[in-house]
Amino acid sequence: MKVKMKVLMLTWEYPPRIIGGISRHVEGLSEALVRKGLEVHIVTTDFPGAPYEENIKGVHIHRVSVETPAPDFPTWVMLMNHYLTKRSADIANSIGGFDIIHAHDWLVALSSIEIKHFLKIDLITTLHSLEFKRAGSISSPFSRMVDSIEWWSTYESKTIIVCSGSMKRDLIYHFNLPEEKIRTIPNSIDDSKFDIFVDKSAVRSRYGIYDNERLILFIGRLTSQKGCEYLIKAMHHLPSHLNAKLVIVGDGYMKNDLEREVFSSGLGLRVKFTGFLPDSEVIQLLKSADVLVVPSIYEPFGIVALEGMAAGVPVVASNVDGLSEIIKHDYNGVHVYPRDPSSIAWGINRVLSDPNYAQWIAKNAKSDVNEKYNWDFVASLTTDVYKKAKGES
Amino acid sequence: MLDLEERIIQILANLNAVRPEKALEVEAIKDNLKVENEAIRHIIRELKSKGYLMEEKEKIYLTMTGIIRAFSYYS
Repeated sequence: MKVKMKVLMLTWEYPPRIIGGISRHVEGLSEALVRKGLEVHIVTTDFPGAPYEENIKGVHIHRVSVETPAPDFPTWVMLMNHYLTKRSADIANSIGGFDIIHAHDWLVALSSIEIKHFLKIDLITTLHSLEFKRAGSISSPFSRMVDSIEWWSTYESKTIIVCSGSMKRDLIYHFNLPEEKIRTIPNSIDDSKFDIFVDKSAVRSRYGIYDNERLILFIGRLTSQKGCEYLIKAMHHLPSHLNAKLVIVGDGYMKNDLEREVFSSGLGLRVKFTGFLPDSEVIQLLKSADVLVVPSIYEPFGIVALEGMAAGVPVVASNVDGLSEIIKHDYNGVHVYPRDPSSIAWGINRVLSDPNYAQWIAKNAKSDVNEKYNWDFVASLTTDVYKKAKGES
Repeated sequence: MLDLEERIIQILANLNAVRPEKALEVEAIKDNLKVENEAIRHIIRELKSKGYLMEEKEKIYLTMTGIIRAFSYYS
């Protein structure tokens, strides 16, 4: 009888705790690994309303609470890692150990390294982004710490998984890693979630968009990395006949500043902030929008662009990092320059002023998502990495 | 330097004030941040109206939205 490979998956976020893109990535990957016959245990942090133990679609989910108060975030991370290690050890004891550890990002690196040495099993790490690009430099003590932990995780891991060619180049350049230690496996989405009927008019009216108006959509954390401020400035460059309004979905530390910018520049009636929205509402908005804009300054992959493509909405995205690899200019989307409001406005205008072009790129984008990005394929590639680490292939 | 609103959110997240039984006295937050009582009361009212905080019996804790907001700073 074939014995199931047992995977310990460490992540600081897992649904319903959705802070950034890692949560949905680990969920999609884990469920696909289970479909391939692997036994997957997620060890993650808790969230109000989520049980400490549950099994969803065959994935065992174990949540820990960081009970000890911390004076600052780095200390909180250290404590979280302690709780993750302790819970993982308990599970390992009860199920007879794991075959492999798969850690996601620096936040859980310390726990993963500790467990690796205790259990004497191989560690695989997926780095979803890098501090020197997120922060723009590693000059602050915090960034220096994160950068150092990221390097340490690459040193301790048998294989580093990244989601794009640009991430791979960044790793080789920044940490001088040997190319053969890095494996590029794309991110993915569950595109079946977008196969629903949406009453566009009703959705748009919920956000104050009338039938004669165009809906420009932004979805993402309101942090400097996402470049939302350049999109807001781009609204001033749009021709008035487009009659366009911008809906900003998401939250983050820049929200107050962005709201101030909107109201002080006279855009109060044309820009709406929704805050966080549930998945179901985000999908309805995506399917009701005229254009999705992804104005990121740094984006290792850009899963929101993929969601827009799956929803059939034309995507205008910064020509940076992973977004440059997903979006092919004038074929399945439009590239614009990052940090450049006039370029972003040009891209929006290109889509909104030519419905045939908009329809064509949206159609190409949807086909691309169907062909190239699915979780079962990602799970196959990931299983190959596990097997190779264990010397089985 | 983070603004006062963000600092309050960060302190609550770090101290694990993320459910009613872990809620913190406003007084404790005030001492931690070394700001005037009225200023902190004003920000807490704002944070509550935006859905980031809940207050029960003079104690505050982060809502789900507040937790996401706090940790999105580092994601």
